[in-house]
Amino acid sequence: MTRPDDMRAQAPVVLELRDVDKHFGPVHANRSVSLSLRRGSVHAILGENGAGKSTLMNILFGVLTPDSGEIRIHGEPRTFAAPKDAIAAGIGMVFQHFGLVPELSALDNISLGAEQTSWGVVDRDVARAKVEDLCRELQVEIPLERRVSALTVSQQQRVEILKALYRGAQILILDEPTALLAPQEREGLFDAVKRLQRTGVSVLFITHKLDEVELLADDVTVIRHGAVVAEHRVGTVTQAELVADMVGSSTVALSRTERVPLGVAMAVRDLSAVHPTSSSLRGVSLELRSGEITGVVGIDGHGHQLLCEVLAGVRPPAGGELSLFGARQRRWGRARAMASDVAFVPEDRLSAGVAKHLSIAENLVANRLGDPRFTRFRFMRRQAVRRHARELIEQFDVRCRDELQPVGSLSGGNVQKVVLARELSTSPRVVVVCEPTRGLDVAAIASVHSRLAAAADAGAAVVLQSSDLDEVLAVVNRIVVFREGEVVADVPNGDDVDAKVLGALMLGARLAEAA
Amino acid sequence: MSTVLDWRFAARLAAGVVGAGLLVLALLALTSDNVPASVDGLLTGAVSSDGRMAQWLSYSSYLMFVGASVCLVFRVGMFSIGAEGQVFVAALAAGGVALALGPSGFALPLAVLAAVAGGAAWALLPGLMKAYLNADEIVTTLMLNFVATFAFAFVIKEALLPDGAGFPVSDYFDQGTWLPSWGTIPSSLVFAILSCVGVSLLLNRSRLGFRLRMVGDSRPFARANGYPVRRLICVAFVVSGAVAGLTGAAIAFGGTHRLIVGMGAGIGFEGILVALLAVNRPGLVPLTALAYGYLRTGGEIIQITGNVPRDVVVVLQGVLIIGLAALLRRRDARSRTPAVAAPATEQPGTAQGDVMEVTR
Repeated sequence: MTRPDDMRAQAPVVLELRDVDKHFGPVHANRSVSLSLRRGSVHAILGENGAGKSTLMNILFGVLTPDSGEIRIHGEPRTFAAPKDAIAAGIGMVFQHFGLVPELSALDNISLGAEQTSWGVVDRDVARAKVEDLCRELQVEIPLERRVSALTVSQQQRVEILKALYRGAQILILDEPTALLAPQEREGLFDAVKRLQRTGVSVLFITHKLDEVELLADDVTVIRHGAVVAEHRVGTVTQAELVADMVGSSTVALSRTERVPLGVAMAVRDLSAVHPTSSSLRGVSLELRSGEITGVVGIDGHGHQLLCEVLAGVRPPAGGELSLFGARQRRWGRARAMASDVAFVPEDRLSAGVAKHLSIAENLVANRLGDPRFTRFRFMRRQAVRRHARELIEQFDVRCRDELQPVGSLSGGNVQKVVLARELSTSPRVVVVCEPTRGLDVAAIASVHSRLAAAADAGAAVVLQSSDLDEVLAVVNRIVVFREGEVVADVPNGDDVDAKVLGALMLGARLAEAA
Repeated sequence: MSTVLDWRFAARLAAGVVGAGLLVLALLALTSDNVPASVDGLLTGAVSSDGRMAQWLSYSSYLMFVGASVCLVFRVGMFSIGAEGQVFVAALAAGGVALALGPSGFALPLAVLAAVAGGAAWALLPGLMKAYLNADEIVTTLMLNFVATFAFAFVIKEALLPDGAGFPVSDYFDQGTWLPSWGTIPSSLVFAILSCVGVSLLLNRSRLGFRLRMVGDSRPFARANGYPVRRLICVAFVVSGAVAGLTGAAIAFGGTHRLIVGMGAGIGFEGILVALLAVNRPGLVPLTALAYGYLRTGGEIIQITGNVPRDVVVVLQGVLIIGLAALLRRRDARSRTPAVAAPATEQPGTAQGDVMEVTR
C-alpha cells in the first residue's frame, strides 16, 4: 500500500526550472535556481525578505524574463514573454497585493478578460455556472454579486484564486498569501489549498513563515541570496534546520525575561474612541507600568489597534481619561504625546513609519525638529543631521550605502531598524509598537525583539500590538485581550497562557473556560 | 550611477534630440515659406536683437516665479494648478493699488505687497478646502482659475477702463512704478532668480521646508511625527500663491505697465511645464525657464518671419518638450533603482506608481 504522500513523490513533474539566472544591475537576484514541482503537490519556496523569491515567481509568471536558464512545463521548454503566455501554459498567480477592480462584482472580476460573450454581450450565466462549480469543488463561499470593495481581504484572495482557476490554471503560485490574513482566515485558505491539491492542481507557495511550511507543504526549497541552499521533504526536516538554511545559523527566538514592573506610566480610565473600520473602544480602563512589556491582542479590528493609536496620540479619544505619570491629559494629540516622551512605531511601516523617498538622515530627525542640535534659526543643521544619522546607523546596525540613501530602497528589516532607531533613541518613557515584525525575516525579528526588551529594561512602559501570537507570547510580560472594543482579559504571561487560550479569549470565551 | 549607464543615457539623449529635430524639420518643411530662415529663427531668434533678447529674458523671469511657486506645492504633494488664477488676482490687486496711489514712492512696494497678498489669499481658498474638506485640489484650483480670469476682465471693463479706450485696458501706472532694466536684462530676472533660490532654501534647508517635504512624502508619516498636517498644507498653498503673486507684479510693472485683459494668460500652465522639466527642483527652474523661454521666443519669431502658423509652433514646442521630459523622467526613474535590495522587482507596482505620481 502506498500512502498519498508517497504517491505525490512519484507524481510526474509538471513544472521545472533549470539554472534560472537574473540580474538587476549589480544585484544578482537569482543564481542558477533549479526547482521541480510535482503534480498535486504543494511546494513551499522559503526564504528571507529579499532572498529572491518574488523575482523567481515573476519570472515564472512572465512578468520578468530570466537572463539565462530554462522553464519547462510538462517537460517542454517554454519561454514566457508576458503573463498571458504563462496563463496559456496553465499557470495562475495570486500576488500579495491583489489586482482586482474594486468597483466590479466578484463574478465580473473572476471572468474579466476571459468573458464569455454572445453577440458581443457578456454572458454572465455561463461564467456564473462555471464559478459556482469551482466554488463547490473548493467548498468556498463567495457572494459573487457583491462588489470587490465590499469583500473582506480573505474573500478577495479567494476571488484571485478563483480567477486563476477560471482561466484553467493547473499550477498556482501563491505569493505570501497569509501576509494579510487573520489566523482563522489562514485556516480557511489552507483548507482550500488542500482541496485544490486533491483535484490535481499543483501549488507553489512563497513564504517566510516556518510553521506554514509544516502545515501545508509537501516539499520545501530554501532560497538564500538568490540561490537554492536546500531542498527537503516536509516531515524529514525540523524547523531549526530550516531556519539554519534560511539565515545560515540556527540561533533565533528570544524568550521573555521576568521583569519587575515599576510604577504606573500611563493609565486610561473608561476610555472610548471611534474608528471607521474597527470596533469602537468602550469603557477601556488599563494601566501600563514602566519596565514592563504589555501585549495587546485581539482579532483584527476589535479595538486593540485603535487603543494603540489613541495612546500614541494619533487618534483622539472620544471620552474617558488618559493620564501620564499621574497627570491627567486633557488635550491629547501626537505632538503632545511626543513632548511627553511617548514613542510610536506605527503598524503601516512604509507609509506612517518612514517617508520613503527621503533620506535615512532626514527620517532619523523627523521627530526631533525642536532639538537645537538639529536646527538653528529655523534652519536645519545639515552636518549635525548627517552625523546623528551615522551614529544611529552604527548603533542600530542599519545596512545601507550611506545616510543619504532613500529609506524606501532599504529592505523591510532595515526600514524597521530606521524606525526603531528614530523612536527609541530619544529614551522614551512609553513606547507604543504596532506589528513591529510583520514581513520581517528571522534575523530582523530577533533584532527588533532585543530592542524592545532593552527599552523595557531601561524603564520604558512598552505596549506591543501584534497579530503574531507566538511573538506576543515570546516577548511580553502581560497580555491584554480585546474583543469588540472591550478588554476581556488582562493576564500575566506565564506557562499557563498559550496561543490556544488567547485564541479562545479573542473569540469570546471567558477566562476560566479558555484556560 | 555607473558610467556605462551615463554613456547610454547620453546616446539616448542624442538620439532623442536628433529625432525631435528631424520631426521639427519635417513640420517646418510642410508649413514654412522659408525653411532655413525658420530653423534659424527658432534656434537663434531669441538672441537676434536686443529687443528680442529682452523679451526672452523678461518672459523667462515670469516663468521662473511661477515655476518656483509650482515646485513648492508639488513637493508637498499637492497638485495645484492654480498659479494661473493667482497671477491674475495678484496683478489686479497690484494694479489697483498702483492706480489708486498714483505717483508715490510707496506705490511700488505697496503694490508688490498687494500682489503677494492677493496671490496668497487666492491660494488659501483651495488650501483650506484641501486641508479641511479633502476637496481635490486639481478641481478646485482649476475652477478658481476661471473665476479669477473672468473676475479680472470684469473689474477692468467695469471699473478701470479709461474713457475712450479701444480695448479693455486700465490706465498706465505712474512711471515711478515701472521696473527698471539694465540694457537687455530686466530687473525682474534678478528678482525671479532670487525667488527660485529662496524657495529652494525654504524647501531644502529650513525646518518648515523639512516638514513640508515630509507631508509631501507621506501624510500618515507627518501625522505620526506630530506635524500639524492641515496647517502645513495651507502654508504650502499660501507660500506658493505668494510667489505666484510676484509673477503678477512682475508682468504688470515690468512688462505691460498697465492692466490688460488677457495679459499673462497661460503663464500659470507654462510655469507648471517649467517646474516639471526641473523635476520640481526650484534650484533648476532658472535653467528650464530660460530654455523654455528661448524656445518660446524663437517660436514667436518664426510665426512672423517664416509665416509658420501658430498652431504648428505650439506643436513643435510640444514635441521638443515631451521628448525632453520623457528622457529626464526615464533617467530619474532609473536613478531611483535600489542599491541594496531590489524592491522594484519585489513589488511590481511601485516603479509605475512613482512615474504616475510625478506626471499626474
